[in-house]
Amino acid sequence: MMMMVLVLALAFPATTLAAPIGHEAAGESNLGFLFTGFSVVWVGLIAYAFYVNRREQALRRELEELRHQLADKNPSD
Amino acid sequence: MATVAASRVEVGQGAGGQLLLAASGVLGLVNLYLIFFWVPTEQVMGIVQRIFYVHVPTVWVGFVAFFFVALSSLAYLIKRDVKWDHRAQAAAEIGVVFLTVSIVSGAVWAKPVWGTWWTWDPKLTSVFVLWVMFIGYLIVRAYAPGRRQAATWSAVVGIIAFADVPIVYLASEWWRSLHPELVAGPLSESGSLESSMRITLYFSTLTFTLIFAYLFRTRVAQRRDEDTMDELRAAVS
Repeated sequence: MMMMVLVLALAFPATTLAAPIGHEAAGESNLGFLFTGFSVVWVGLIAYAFYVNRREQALRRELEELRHQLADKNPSD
Repeated sequence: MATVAASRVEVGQGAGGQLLLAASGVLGLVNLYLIFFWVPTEQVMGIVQRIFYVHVPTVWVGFVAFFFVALSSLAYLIKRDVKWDHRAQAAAEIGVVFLTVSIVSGAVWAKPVWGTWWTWDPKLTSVFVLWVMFIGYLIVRAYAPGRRQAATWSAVVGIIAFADVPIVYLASEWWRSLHPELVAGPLSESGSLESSMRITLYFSTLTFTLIFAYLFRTRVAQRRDEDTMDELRAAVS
């Protein structure tokens, strides 16, 4: 979860800050491409981090269930 | 006995992973500052050239990941220790993610600069072949009949696929290519990149490498935990 928050914090301020204010810069009309390029990278990494995070949560849940099952099965262990 | 084993299992990767995550976050913020406030706008391509600072580092991380795959695969084939297979699988998965975002961000950069999203240029073609081979690696793992076969077969595929990495790296030197020549590394011409651009590129590369290190550590730990869980499940049933 912490990973997700960090990555989101990194992803969004970037491209809106890119355009120089007050004068026409070379290739300024390409702001949409810049936004898309950075979005692709960060959304891709966020999606993968989300997948990794979900797997970890599922593993924790499964381990807890297993512990309960084992405790019920062998109360003396 | 299985209860004792279950009580010892800890899912996750501990304090080292959290430290890597925090370091990646801090470096990531500094990296954004460098890309959007510090480094000057390139005069010919304009602001869209800033994609360079994520495109190159992500492909670099992809190459590093595939180097890990080849190394771990070789170690697995020699030692037959499953921990090497875990490392190879984690590196391959993360490498595919990084290479995918790099290819797509490159296409987005190419459209306004070259006037096309994609062209079958030697560099782009060889990188596409690399991507397909590592997708194949993941498919081999997913569809192999057993765990040992998955590890052995994918190790062979991983080593063969890695051979394409130097071809991708040197493609623009060996053949006429639309893709720019090397701007960083031992084979690049000196002065091919302005110093602030070089610093930003290296800093960005360090940031994405740390993100890779965090993800790699996490996925290796998960693969180890998944195996432990399988053993525990077998003990319960």
